[in-house]
Amino acid sequence: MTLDDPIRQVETARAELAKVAGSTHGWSDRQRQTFDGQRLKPLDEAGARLSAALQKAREQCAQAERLLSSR
Amino acid sequence: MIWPAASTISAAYGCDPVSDDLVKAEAHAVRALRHAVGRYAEQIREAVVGARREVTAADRRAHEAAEHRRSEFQRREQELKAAQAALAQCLRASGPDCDGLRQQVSAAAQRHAEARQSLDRARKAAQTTAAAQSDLVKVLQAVEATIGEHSSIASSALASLDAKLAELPHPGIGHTLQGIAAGALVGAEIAIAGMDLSRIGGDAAAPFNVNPPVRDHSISQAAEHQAVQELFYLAEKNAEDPSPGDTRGRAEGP
Repeated sequence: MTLDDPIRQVETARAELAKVAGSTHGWSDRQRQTFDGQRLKPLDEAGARLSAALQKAREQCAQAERLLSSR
Repeated sequence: MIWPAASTISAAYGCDPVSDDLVKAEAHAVRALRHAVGRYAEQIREAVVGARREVTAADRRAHEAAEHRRSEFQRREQELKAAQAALAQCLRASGPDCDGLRQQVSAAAQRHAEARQSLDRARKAAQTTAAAQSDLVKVLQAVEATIGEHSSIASSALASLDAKLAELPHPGIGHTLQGIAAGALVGAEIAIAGMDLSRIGGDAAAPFNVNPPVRDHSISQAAEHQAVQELFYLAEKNAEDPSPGDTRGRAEGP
């Protein structure tokens, strides 16, 4: 289906970043919170926004395909 | 001003005096995170490119289908008009049998109606994909800008942090101050990420010579910056002290 691959790519990217960010041993909670809050969170939020937009677009494209296929 | 004890400052930052192993662990984590940020940005860019291509293709298919069905509808319309004209001519001639032509008109009218419905659906599909493309393009542009900006900021912050961690320990600084320095450095680099760090030099006091944050304005960051500045002062005073390692006594202040 249209946009399946981009949606999967975004989710994979977000999961990988979260995994690495969650494994920063040696960082204090406060440091990690600061970094997450100021630097990584905007990246993840942008990914989430993209994912939501892609899913909406996929639904719209699926609706269009249904319209075209019904005769 | 009452200067907090070194351990208090350290605790305020959530960082205990660190060992070389911890510095190495932090450096490793920083490099891993920097790599991950770069990879994340690249994956998102690829997804954006793919999404743009797929939605554009879906919109093109819908518009091509609408165009094809418009032609079909026009052809059916002409067919219907021709059948109607033939029936009218038959009726005007008072022909004995126009039933065949009547059936042709009926069949043509049926195909004409179906073609109209098919065209309407294709038009609706084209409108849907056009809206999807329009909506998505706005988000893609915003996301690209955000990812570009913040991955660059994060990468710069991590690169600077990596470099500064590599510079530790500095000669002439007591172990405790080194610990504070490492911890403070992490906090400072994070707090001032995105700033020009070129002023940071190589002597004992210079690593703490940073400017006020210009990108971030939250209260917590302002407080953080204040704490970092206090650490800079402490470090500078300690660097002037001929007896290295005597940080706690100076830090506790009056």
